[in-house]
Amino acid sequence: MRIIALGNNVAGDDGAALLAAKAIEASCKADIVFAGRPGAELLDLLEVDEAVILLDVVAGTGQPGKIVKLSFNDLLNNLCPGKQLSSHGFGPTETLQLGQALGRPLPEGCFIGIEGQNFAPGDALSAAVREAMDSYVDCVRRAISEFS
Amino acid sequence: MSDEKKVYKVDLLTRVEGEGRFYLKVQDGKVIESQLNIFEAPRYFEALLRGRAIEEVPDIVARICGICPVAYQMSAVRALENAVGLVPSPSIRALRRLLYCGEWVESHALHIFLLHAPDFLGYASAMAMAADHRDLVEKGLRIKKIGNALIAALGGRAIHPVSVRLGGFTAAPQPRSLSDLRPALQQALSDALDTVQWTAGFSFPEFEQDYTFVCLDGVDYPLEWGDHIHISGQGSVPVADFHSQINETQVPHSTALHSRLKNAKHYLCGPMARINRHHQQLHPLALDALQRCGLALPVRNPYQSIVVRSLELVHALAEALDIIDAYQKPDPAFEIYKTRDAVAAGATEAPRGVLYHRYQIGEDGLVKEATIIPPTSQNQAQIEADLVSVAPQLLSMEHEQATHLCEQLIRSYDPCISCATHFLRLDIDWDNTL
Repeated sequence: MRIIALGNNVAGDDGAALLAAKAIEASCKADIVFAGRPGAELLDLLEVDEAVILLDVVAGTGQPGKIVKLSFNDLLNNLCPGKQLSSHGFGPTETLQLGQALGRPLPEGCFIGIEGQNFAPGDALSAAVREAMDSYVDCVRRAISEFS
Repeated sequence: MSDEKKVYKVDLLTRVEGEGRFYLKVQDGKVIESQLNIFEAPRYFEALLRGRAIEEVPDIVARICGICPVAYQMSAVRALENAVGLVPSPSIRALRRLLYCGEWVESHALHIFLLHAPDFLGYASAMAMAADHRDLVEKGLRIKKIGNALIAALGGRAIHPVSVRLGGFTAAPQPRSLSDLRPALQQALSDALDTVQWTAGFSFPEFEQDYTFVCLDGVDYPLEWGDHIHISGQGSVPVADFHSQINETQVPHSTALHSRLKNAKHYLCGPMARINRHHQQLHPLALDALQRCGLALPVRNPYQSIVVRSLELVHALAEALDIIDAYQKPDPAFEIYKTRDAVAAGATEAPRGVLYHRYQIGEDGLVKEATIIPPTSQNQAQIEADLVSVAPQLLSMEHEQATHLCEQLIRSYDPCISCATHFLRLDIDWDNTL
């Protein structure tokens, strides 16, 4: 199993997925990739013959701390059309869409996101995300059991 | 004469790196206002470096950019090694050049295939292009992948590599780990040669400008080494004096500083500046590709920069193969130095142009002052000037077409505005959530 954590650990809540991956690192035998912002390289990271759990921080619903778990297909179907293909902003949205356009198969697994609130450089986690971190980590652990 | 006003703007530039917008106001065929707005929050890296040990600098500055971290590391070690009076050995220099080749490959491949080519083929994005030109996009990803593999082999990881240190590397790779990359590099070189012919066949808007070009000067094609910076029309100045040749100013519409020469003239750095001055230093394979593709030098049309990047892709891949073939593991992997009170500068050629670093350090090995001038901030004033120059062409166009031409022009600079927090945009039926 591979766990891929995305985000920026010096930009407030944007580091929440990386923190979750760190929290399970010692007790987990999975291949954990602290990918940060891998851009299009996410396509290569997803190209494995094992289950993948993709962790990231989401935004847009106004419910910081909310946890969302989706299959990769559901994730693709729920993506909003947005800013396209800035190479720094070449996030999971565009990467999955690009993979789909190229006909690359999605791995077994799921996406688990947590809604963030503060993303400014140097910010700490927001109170809402901090309070939700245990639940987020538990959710990741359950997904590991599910796909193991 | 009519008093018709036209406004061309894009509130969120796409297929550039970072967050920015442009705004162009034209009245009676004349530009009233031209702005490239950069509205990302300033990140205060120069202030953050103050008081830090010089050994920490390469790892800190690498975080400025996820696309060109090697460039930041290379300029930092050049400046700091100048400060402590250390000249790296030829084998260390070769290894650094190889690492930098990896970065050029991944950065140029990304821009050519995923960001810029859709403009010439009439697609809104690489995803749309991929539906019709899957092989092209896969080729671009394949080339980019070997660039990343090179960085990972030398730097420990592809993004924000960690092995660069003052005096050399924390560890040098085994020859086998580099020679294993050879087949993929050879394939990428073949793909890159095809890419030159492909991009040279694009239809380019007419837009020749009389630019002042700025690039690093050295014996080789400018990359990780060079003691002078050449300003076309003015000559070369020592890197240490470059800062005194320019003015950095703040403008209300941008969080990035604008750079201009002392005579107030804007200037262009990057692939066009490099190839116009140093094409004779290109790898023979790249020089041959240049001669065969029909690109006339000097290049003064920024829309043609995609061809220049393709040629630099050939150069970087061919040079990487040569360096690997001649590689002998440096022992030791780094040289020892003694810190001292000093002020020194260093510059290298990031994929987008000259990246200048200047540090004042103390005998205690701490940074007192840091100045970092990235290529995009140097090109920003030139981009705005280009938008002014392109305005007459816009007037006869449909609004959408005119706006696209401006976007394409900005994209031709491959502006690296800065790293931004990324969001996964979701439209979720919350019934699906936990």
